[in-house]
Amino acid sequence: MNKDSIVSVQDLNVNLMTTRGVVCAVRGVDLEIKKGEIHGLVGESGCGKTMTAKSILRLHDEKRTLYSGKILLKKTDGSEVSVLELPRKELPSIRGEEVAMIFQDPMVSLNPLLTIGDQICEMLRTHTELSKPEINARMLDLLNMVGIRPAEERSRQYPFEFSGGMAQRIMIAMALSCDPQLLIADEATTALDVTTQAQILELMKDLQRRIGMSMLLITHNFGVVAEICDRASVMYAGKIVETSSVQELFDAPQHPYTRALINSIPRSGRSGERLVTIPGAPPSLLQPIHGCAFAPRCQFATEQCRQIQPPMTGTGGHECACHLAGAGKEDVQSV
Amino acid sequence: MKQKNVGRFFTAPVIITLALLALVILASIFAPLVAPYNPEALDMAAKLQMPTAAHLLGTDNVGRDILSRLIFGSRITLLSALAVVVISVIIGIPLGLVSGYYGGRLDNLIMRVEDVVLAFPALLLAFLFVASFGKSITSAIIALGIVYVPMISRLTRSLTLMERGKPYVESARSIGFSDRRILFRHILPNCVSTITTQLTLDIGSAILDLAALSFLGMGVQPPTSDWGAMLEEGHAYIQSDPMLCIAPGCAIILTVVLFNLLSDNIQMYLDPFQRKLPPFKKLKKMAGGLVE
Amino acid sequence: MGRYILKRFLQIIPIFFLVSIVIFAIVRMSPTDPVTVILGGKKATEVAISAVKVKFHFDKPVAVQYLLWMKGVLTGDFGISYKYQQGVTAMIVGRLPITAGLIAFSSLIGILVAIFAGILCAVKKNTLADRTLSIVMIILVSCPVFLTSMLMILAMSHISGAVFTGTYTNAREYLQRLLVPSLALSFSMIALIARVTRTSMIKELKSNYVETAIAKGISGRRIIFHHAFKNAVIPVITVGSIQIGAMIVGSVLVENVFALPGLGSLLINGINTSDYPIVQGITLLLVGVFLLINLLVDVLYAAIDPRIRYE
Repeated sequence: MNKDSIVSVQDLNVNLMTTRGVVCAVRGVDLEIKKGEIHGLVGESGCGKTMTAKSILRLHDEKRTLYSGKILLKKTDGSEVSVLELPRKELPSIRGEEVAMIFQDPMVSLNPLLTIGDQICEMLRTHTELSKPEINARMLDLLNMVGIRPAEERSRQYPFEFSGGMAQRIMIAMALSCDPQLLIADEATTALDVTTQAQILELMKDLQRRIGMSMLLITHNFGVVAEICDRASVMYAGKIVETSSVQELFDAPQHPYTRALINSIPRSGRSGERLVTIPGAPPSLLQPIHGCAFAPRCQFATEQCRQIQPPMTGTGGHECACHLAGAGKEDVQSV
Repeated sequence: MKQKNVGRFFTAPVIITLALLALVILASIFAPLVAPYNPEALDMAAKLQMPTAAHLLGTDNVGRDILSRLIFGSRITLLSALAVVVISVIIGIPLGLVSGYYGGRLDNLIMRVEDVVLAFPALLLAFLFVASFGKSITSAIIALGIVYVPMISRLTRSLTLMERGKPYVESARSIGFSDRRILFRHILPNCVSTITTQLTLDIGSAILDLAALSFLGMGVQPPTSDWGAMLEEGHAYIQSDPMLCIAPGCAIILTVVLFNLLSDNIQMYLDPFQRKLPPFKKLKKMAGGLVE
Repeated sequence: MGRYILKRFLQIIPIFFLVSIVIFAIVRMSPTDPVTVILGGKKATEVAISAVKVKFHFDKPVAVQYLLWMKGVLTGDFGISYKYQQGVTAMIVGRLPITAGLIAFSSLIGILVAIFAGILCAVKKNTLADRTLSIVMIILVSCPVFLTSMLMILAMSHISGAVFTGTYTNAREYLQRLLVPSLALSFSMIALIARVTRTSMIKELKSNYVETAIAKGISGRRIIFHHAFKNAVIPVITVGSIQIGAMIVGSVLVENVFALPGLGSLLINGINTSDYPIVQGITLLLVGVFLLINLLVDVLYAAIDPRIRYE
């Protein structure tokens, strides 16, 4: 594992048993998240980004899920653990303490019958040795930090008494309570309106700067990526197709899929123009996929693309899984 | 790779349940053909016998063949239970539809009336009816039918409320369909499957309640006997000749179990998240073929 | 919270009165002439008949009879038994301990065992334990309570030779009398509540806030009991309150089979002898108790679920 990475996902495969058969949701993903970095994981619905993220915490139902590959995590004390090989009972010591996660819809992610103060304190009680008054004080600190005021009064309220945006702030407070190294945000702003979305992103950016933790931001929204991510990985059909710094991703995207995605972002000020879409649909993950998964929809696809899975190649922190990396540069409208 | 269709309704357990139920129902319909003896034929010489070749389940205290009594008794038990459910459905479903669809004061009124009915634990109202109108299977059936109405009605009502908000109802109204048409030809069919779950459960409950009433002498009157009455008659002999109780007891348990299982299976079929997945070992085997 | 309780209580009062009217009406619709019942079927003189009519208020209009009866009920006087010519209230009070004890014990046993079994089955979903228990539950629920009672008596007499039935004279005998019947009465309650607990727990264990709790690194036990169960218990309470109604009725059957001197056997007696004051009184009492229990259940809902309190 790289010495400045805190999470290293190596050749991760996740197979999920569903009523319709086995779904190969993640088909060989490599991902490195560095210390202090905000890493975006972008892709359309069903491409496997959430499954990859949840695997870092092994949140899947172990009776229905089959993992292969490695996920290495560098703990706060410097030691390295292989998450997929940890015995079940050691997982709670990682969850919340080393890696924390917040989810898409905060209104259903909080227990409706417990006060929010309780839910934050519970986290502290589980992972720290602090005394009750200390826990209480820290909880109020956290609420203040995320902008829930007056903290004392609101800590005694129940989730249904908060709006979506405030509930997400509470989730963030909860997630940060034990100083994790990595915060995974799974579509954290998708369920919020645009203004609130901006506020939450601003909050996350601010907190990240102050605390210096890493973030894995899962989203299908390139705007979010552009707003706060340092680096980003684009996923398609269970594989990462491109990884680079956000600047380069927008300036010089190499993978045809990335380019097509960026192309299809609607632009304001150009009314009357047709929306650009990518023809076709992602392949079904119930069947094995031969060759490049994007080939059926790619205008540059060759026979090689259809037969052989392209490896990740590239230099200088910009990698791409395409036989024709860089093809069709002229098509990109500058963002 | 060929996938087994995990979403079928007629799985093996369901088929067995339905087959056994069909057996019971057919036996009761064709009772005169199936039963070896006349259920009321006395034969004092052969009384209180253990099961033999001649009398497969033995005889009771006045020499009547238990098996025949069981088969003929099933007619009354099943028919009465069916009658109870039919009454509750005839009154309950329209009430529920109307209550849920129109809402407002009509809904309030209906709910209030049902509150009063619901305040009576089921058999208590039956006791009252019987006390007042005399002991007969008819009083029992009517009383139970009334007591079962709120359950069906409220279920239908909440289903109707759910359906009412859906776009197809709005479009039907905008086309100009009459309310009655919308209710019966559009909303009701969508509720049928959930209501059926409740109905099968109710038939089972009705069998139990009616048996209880007969046991207390408040249901069927002699000489007709249903399973509950058979239990009452056999009660005195439970130590010496348990078969008099075991036979009707098992019959009741078996039949109600079958209806409960049927209801369970319908419910599981309707709720896609409850369908069973193949065990983990199979998952590994299946995944092995796909991982490259 | 106090306001909520008050509101609910006020809603029950009209129902109680409506129920009393229904009970009264049904009894009055009976073709049996109460005077005949009171006089024991013997041929009587005109004087005797009018004396009876005055004593039992049959000479007054029906509405007045109802009001007199209700006035009595609210002051604790349930009227006079036709057959025994004594106060119904005293008869009821004498029998209350048995019925109350029966219902209380069986509810307690039922709820504790059921919830424990339900949670166990939900957590160990689809294992052998779960499947076996589920089958047992289905059979229990399909068994009429009087049959279970009969079988338990049979079993008891084979095992210990002694069967405790009939009246009691002290606390120890009281408990002896109630132990086995409470068990028999609790069986169907256990079965239904365990099933609902199981279904409800399974549903809650799949919910988003449980996923959050897992991601927070909370221990499995705490998730089950402190998070999931609190949410899962709400539909369980609903089923439980309906079941208590079934229990009230079931106690009548159990008392019959075990020959216990409770309200149930008094009620059956009253039905058989057309002793309407007893039938009316006990029915109204049982309904009243049931309504109160429902009220308590509503209060329990509000105590658990803050969203209800704010309605």
